[in-house]
Amino acid sequence: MLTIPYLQRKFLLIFSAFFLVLSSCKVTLLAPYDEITDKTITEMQEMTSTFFVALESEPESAAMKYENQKQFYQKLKVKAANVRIRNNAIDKNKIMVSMIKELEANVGRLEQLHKGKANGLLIPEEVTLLKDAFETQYGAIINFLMALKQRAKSG
Amino acid sequence: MHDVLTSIFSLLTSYFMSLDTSVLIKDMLSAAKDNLGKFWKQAKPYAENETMNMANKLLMIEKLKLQGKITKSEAMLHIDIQKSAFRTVLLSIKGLGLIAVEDTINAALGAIAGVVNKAIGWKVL
Repeated sequence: MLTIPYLQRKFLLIFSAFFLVLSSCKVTLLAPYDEITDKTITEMQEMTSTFFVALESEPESAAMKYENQKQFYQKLKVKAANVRIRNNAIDKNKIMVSMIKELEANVGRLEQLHKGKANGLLIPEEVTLLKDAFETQYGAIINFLMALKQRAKSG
Repeated sequence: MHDVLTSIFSLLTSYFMSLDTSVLIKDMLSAAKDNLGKFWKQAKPYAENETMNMANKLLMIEKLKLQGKITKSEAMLHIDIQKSAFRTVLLSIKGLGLIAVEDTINAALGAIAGVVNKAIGWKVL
């Protein structure tokens, strides 16, 4: 049986490790672009924008009362949970997970505000504030996703 | 990151009932600068813009509260929503900074690849 002396074995091990490090030398600090995340966030953004536009155009409509918008919140929360669970499973993805958690928490707060209204309706001044906040939040996430997409193309 | 943000928002809470926007913006920017560290230079214009927006929104919330249009608990929910949006912006800036760092490292590795490969005799980089 062929036996390798101790020092030669050690050298081979170090050389193999060195080779492995060098051959995988493209540095990645962040998870790659994920198309499903992009699609889900875009869908959430569209749903939220539609909701705010409807609130702006018909602020006193019965259709915009919390009781009649429960399905909107439910769908939005399901999408947020799905995208968070998916991103949790991806390595080097802490920033994206944190951003999704912030968004998910804000969806919960928006629902809490809406639910707490005696007449079931958010007032126009609040809608302006909320719309701005969600646009900023979605914008920041989409900006980051676009940069990841660009990185995937150029890599 | 969240420690620094916590300090930003405890500042906001203390200013909430008597907002002095210029002092508030200055303190928020200082905390954002500490938080973003080496990414600050590239993030400064974006962070400044978002900080101004945030300060204006806090003024609007305070106004709604003073006018009695929203309750104190609703005002606090609005503040939390704005805080969360601001945190997301800072996270995005940090992420964009990391992509830039990654690009720089890989460009440097790419630049030396030819020399190393030639010296070793086969393609390792």
